Amino acid sequence: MPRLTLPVTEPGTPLRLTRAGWIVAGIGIALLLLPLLYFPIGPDQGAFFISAQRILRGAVYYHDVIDVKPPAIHYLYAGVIALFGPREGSIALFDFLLQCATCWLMIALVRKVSGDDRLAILYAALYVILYVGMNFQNIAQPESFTGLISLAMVRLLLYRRTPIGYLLIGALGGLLFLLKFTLGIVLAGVLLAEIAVFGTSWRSLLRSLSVCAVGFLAVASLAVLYPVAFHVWPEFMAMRRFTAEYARLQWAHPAAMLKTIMKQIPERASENYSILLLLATAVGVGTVLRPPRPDRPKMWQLTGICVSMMLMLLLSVCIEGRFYLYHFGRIYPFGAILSAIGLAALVRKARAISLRPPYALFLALATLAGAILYGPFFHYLWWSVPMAARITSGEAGFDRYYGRLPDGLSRTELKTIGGYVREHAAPGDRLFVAGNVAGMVYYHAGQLPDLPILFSPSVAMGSAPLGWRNMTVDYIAAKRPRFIVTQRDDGREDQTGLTISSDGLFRSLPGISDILREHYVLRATTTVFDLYERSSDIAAPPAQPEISR
Amino acid sequence: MNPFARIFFLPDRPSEFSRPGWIIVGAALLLVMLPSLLLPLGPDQSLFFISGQKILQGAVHYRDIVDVKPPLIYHVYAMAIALFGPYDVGIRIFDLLLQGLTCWVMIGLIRRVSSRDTLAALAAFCYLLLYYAQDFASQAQPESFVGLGGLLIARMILLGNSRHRFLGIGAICGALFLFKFTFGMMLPIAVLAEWMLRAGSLRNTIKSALMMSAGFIAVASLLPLYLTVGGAWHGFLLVNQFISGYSRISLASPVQWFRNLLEHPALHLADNYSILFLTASAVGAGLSLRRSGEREITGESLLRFCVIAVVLLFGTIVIEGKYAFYHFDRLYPFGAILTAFGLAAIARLVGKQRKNSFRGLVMMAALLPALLLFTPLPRYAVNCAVNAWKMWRYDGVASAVDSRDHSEDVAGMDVRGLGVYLGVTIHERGGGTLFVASSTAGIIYHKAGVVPEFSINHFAFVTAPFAPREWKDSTRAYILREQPMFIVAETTDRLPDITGSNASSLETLRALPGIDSLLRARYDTSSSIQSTQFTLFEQRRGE
Repeated sequence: MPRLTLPVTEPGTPLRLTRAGWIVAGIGIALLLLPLLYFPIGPDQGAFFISAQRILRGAVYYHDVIDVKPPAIHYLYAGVIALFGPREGSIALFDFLLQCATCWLMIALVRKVSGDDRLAILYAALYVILYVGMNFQNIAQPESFTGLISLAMVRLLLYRRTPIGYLLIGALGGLLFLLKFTLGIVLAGVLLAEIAVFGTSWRSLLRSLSVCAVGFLAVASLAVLYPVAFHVWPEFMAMRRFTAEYARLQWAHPAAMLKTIMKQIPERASENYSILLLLATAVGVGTVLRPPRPDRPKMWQLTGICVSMMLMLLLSVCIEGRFYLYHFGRIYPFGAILSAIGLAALVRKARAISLRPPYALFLALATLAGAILYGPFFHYLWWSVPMAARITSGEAGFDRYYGRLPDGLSRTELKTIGGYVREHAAPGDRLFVAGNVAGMVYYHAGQLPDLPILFSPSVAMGSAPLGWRNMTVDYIAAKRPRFIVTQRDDGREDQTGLTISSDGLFRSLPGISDILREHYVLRATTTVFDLYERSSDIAAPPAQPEISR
Repeated sequence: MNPFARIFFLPDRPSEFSRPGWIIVGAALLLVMLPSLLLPLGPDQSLFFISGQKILQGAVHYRDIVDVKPPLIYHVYAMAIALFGPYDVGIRIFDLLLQGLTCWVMIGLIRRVSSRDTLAALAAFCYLLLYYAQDFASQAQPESFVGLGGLLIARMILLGNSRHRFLGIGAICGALFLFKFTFGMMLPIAVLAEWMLRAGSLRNTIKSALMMSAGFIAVASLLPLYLTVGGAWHGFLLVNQFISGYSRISLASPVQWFRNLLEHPALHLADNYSILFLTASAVGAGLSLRRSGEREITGESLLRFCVIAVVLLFGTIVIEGKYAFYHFDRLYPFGAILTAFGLAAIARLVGKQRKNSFRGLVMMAALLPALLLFTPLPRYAVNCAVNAWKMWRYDGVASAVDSRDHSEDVAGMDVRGLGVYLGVTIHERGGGTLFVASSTAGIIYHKAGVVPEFSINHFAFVTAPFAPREWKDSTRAYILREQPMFIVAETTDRLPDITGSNASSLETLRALPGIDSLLRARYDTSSSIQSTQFTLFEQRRGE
């Protein structure tokens, strides 16, 4: 029987693209990123957006704006709004530019390390497919900055192993810490890489880590300086106590948490990261177990650093214990490198294989089908559909696509509620929203909250300062905002340890039910929202709910 | 080779393990299997169980028992009950013996083709770990027989020389077909494997395929024979009418069908099959590409057989389109072999790392927890060992109330508690009839010790809009005629994936003409059972 022999390529043959090739590749990457521009604002981004608008009007974080995340992301959003305007498209544009910069840095790094342009492009493409595949709720988060900042750290670790380099590495780690405290764990990744990859002696390790710590503290101390400078230390400490319990909630039962980790990580890994990339990553990790090739030691070091970073970032996901999709976004920059290395190795192996045709053909077809079905492509395609809908069917098609989403995310419902407020609000009229997606409601209504805290079931947690609930009661009693929107389906035990919804919690506050009954009229009700309007502002007799469930 | 060695697939090559070594391996494998003896039967197994009991009383499948699966699994349960008694543990012993035999064949086969005892033991261990890491309801299913049948086929293809073996291969495929129709896919697997691994020419392949088909038809034709002799053709046609509606559910929305295809297998593979085993299986599949001598049967040949089997059997899961965890059982025997070879290769790679001293050790120490967490080992501990301990700790209690107290610990205990309560009550009253309208009816009948008179047990056969009218009418007529002492109806079993309807069993039951008024006129809702899942109707005394 004839044998099928494929041409064998010398492993790792460097391939440099021409200028035209780079233009094509650049356009390709930008096109892959394009769906980002068509993502609407999600619950978290909505909260950041509202906070940022208030910061631009002089609000002080921890005093006028309260959220579990450190201030940096809110200030970044403020910068974006100042630059591009207060529209959801501004956030999408910023994220598009951020990820373009991340890809640029990735490509430069992998090119420099491997001398292989194909690998660099494959890597960037995989990262973009993974990132966009997370969908609109999970982008433009603090995790979205991990790629840009941590890859800069990797570059320094590889090519600037001097005191200045370590100082900068520490400073960049501090920057990530300011975006989200747990992201500071990248410095543990640096430590692991120093030991396992570079085999640094204890003395050098101590020296470089000390310099690193100086850089880190210089930047991270801003987290403490901010509340001191703005005289919001008590609020800052109250928030710390709240977040400590928020974090502890997951770890109250360690055995149950271990089961959750066992369940959630494979689930997320299979869902968005995909089986194909999971396997390719395993192959990529496997290359660290081999001794480095003498001609390409940096490549081996890069792989080792990626493994170290990925392990530590995965650990930080487990520490946070929430396992939302965007939490895994922090792993993607390193996962994409490892899977690109793994895929390249697999392709090299496959090309070097020569065996009898029937089985080779069978396996090739089965592998191809598996790679297509269980790769990240379909997720990416799925979240690219709204872009196609907007291009082909305009705003209506776009709204229709996102109109079907549950959990208060339905664009139709948000626009209906927001549209009513926009239409009927006179200057000076206020809106109060009780809901997990409060930021989105405020955004669609074109309003800003008066209270610093966005009211959600988390204010009922044991560690939540009583002041948060009291100020809500006082505000409603004294100000009587013209519109009140409550969400009925946001009781999330995994977030708060409570099953009560914002609607239920709001009504349970002292006097609120009476105020609602006596002074408000239910103007609209949707699948998840109730919209109340102050009776005194309604000229005509109270209408029946306008929107049916 | 002596006849004994041939029968038990022992190798004619020197063994890596000594006799005590094999005793230790056998004991370790037995230890993995033993906790399963304490596990209860799940909803499916309970249905098979009560059907097995009915068969022992002379019932004919499709005529006196309505269920979608072909008759063999019910008859095998009947045999197990006849052999080991009408207890949960009887079925568990039978399953243990079955899986033990599967391991035996697996070990013998791997030893013959690779001369690697370590690999053989590792593969058997991986298989048992995968099999018992599932929840208890996923074992002793028709899928549990695929390992034994498939590995025997692999052995015959790879190691056999006689042309008559093709008849045997076909017969095994036919037997698997009688367990579940989609398992008929083993025939194309055998033909493909013979073509790719042994035959060498298309002419030889066609000849062997014809012989396999003859063997297959000879065994598969037992089904029409059974239907004819048992007078069960009518019931068989009704079941097929139901199956066509049942199959259409998953195909009703092509987009949803495709999303299911993308999501469920990926989740199962990463979660239950585990990330480490998945990686090792991929490495094993990669090893199947290693060159071996022309026509020489080696470990690579076995790996190739396993790859072919996994791919085509995966196709059968997609065809069935339901993606319950136990559906993936059929892949495990072949997946375990691929995993074992892959793990051995990974271990060799890691072993070399010792030479890189401290650096490698640090990296391995960091990776190890991740690897330990993402194997089936913790799942085995939770689903098999811990649940078995809980059963041992709690299941001896006599009253249903005590059983229910622990209902959250082991899934299905609430149902089991209800069954025990009904059994005790019926016994105390010196007899009485029971009718259960539920998707877990089998468990309640089984725990109550009642062999149902009526043919339909799983109430989906009444709830589904596409179910034959005759089944709905006969259910109604049975209840109106017999007016059972107890009627249990499940309130929460909305199974749109199976029935294509969102109605619960209670809603369906009440919607049958005349039933609601009967329940109101002659039954009280029992307050003895505080269950959110079930409503128990008890006939008024003196009625």
